[in-house]
Amino acid sequence: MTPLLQLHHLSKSYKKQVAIDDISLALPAGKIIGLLGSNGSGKTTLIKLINGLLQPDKGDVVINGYRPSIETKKIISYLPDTTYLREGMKIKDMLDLFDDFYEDFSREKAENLLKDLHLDDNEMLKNLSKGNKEKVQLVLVMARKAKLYILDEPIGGVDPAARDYILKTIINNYSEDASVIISTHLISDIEPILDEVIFLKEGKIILQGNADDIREEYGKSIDSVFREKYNG
Amino acid sequence: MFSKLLKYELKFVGKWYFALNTGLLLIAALLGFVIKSLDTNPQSMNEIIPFFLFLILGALIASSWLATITIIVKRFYSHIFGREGYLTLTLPVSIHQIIISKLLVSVLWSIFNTLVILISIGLLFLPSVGIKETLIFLPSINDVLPFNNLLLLIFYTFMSNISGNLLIYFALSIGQLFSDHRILMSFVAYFSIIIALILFTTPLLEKFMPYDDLFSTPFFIYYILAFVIESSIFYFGTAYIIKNKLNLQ
Repeated sequence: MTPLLQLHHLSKSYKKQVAIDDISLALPAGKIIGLLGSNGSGKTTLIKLINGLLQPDKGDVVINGYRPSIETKKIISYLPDTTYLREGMKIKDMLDLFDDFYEDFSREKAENLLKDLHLDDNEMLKNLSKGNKEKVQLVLVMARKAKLYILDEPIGGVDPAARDYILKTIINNYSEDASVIISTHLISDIEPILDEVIFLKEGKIILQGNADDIREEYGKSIDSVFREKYNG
Repeated sequence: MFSKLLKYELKFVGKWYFALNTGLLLIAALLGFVIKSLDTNPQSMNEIIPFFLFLILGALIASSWLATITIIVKRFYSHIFGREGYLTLTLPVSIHQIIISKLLVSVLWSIFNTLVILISIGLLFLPSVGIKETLIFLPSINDVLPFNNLLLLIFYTFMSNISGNLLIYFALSIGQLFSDHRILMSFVAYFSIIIALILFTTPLLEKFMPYDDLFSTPFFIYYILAFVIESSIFYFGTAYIIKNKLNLQ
């Protein structure tokens, strides 16, 4: 089976600081993948490279056979670690926008998710709390039937109840031909749903593999392995 | 997709902008009648009222012009370089479509704003001159103005507008290349480019364009060509920076 995402000797530096250092990997479809690392380990840079928001110094990113381009933007549903909502709009204006630009967006699904999270789509975005803005963004991203979901710190600012709901939504979206990459340093919360993990440190992959295999090999949880790798 | 980008560009402009421009036209019309009544009967009115109306008109013209510039700058800056850049730059559209859609709408607002200001100035004199006289005069406007080619003048204005807008985009993009003081550096870039253009084009102009040829056909062709070259540099420079050098924060 052809991998959904391939990175070939990918490198990126900012001025003299190396952010991504010669990373190669291939990720299959149908998996939930944890991209784990401490702050400054290169997670967000890697995600920006995959989304075409940054250009690599060396190497290649290939998603479903394409380099980052309009074709890949059609199939990637990306949740950045910051809010990108246009403040002067209502929630339903954002639904219109996604409906207009993304063929795979399901308005019905978005409306149902909003209802479950007790969000009124007539509400102005600038009146929402930070946590509610994050929820709206997550709803927009998860209401697409994308091939690759990239979620950068998706559960950082929301309350535990919403956190559980969000994780459930992510699992429900997961299908045979779609993968989800979740970047986070809050590992214990998402550990139960992960199929694969990638540990990133100083721009390099220090550990990668099946979550069950790693737990078995180390005889402890991914969270404990993470603490050991980053504190030791 | 391009038409959808245009739709959202047009939507971005708030009702306040139209209210401001309508206010400008209303005050100009009102002032037109005040001028007429002063003309016919200078003693009829307190002097302070026309003075204030002129002051308000001046302020409205300045604010409608500033508002247009602000909309042009803010739309480009916040949608691409601000947080909204994460949304704009991951939509399934090309960078060229994004820049061109913004440019077209910027040109549209610039033309709209220029027309509103011209009409408001026209409204000042319309009641005094009379509608009939104005309508008779209008067809001969081409003979009165020192332009022997109205079509070239329109094209010249259009190209200068495009080049002006693209210069704003390019300067904003250059500002992004710095890690600090990005807005300040955009201003520095903007004025440096203008100074460089003057230094570069003045010798050319002196060589090819004797001064008595002002507003002649060669004058227009020279400037239109210059605007096309400048616009290309600003456009591709902007696209290059957004694609290759931008790192959203």
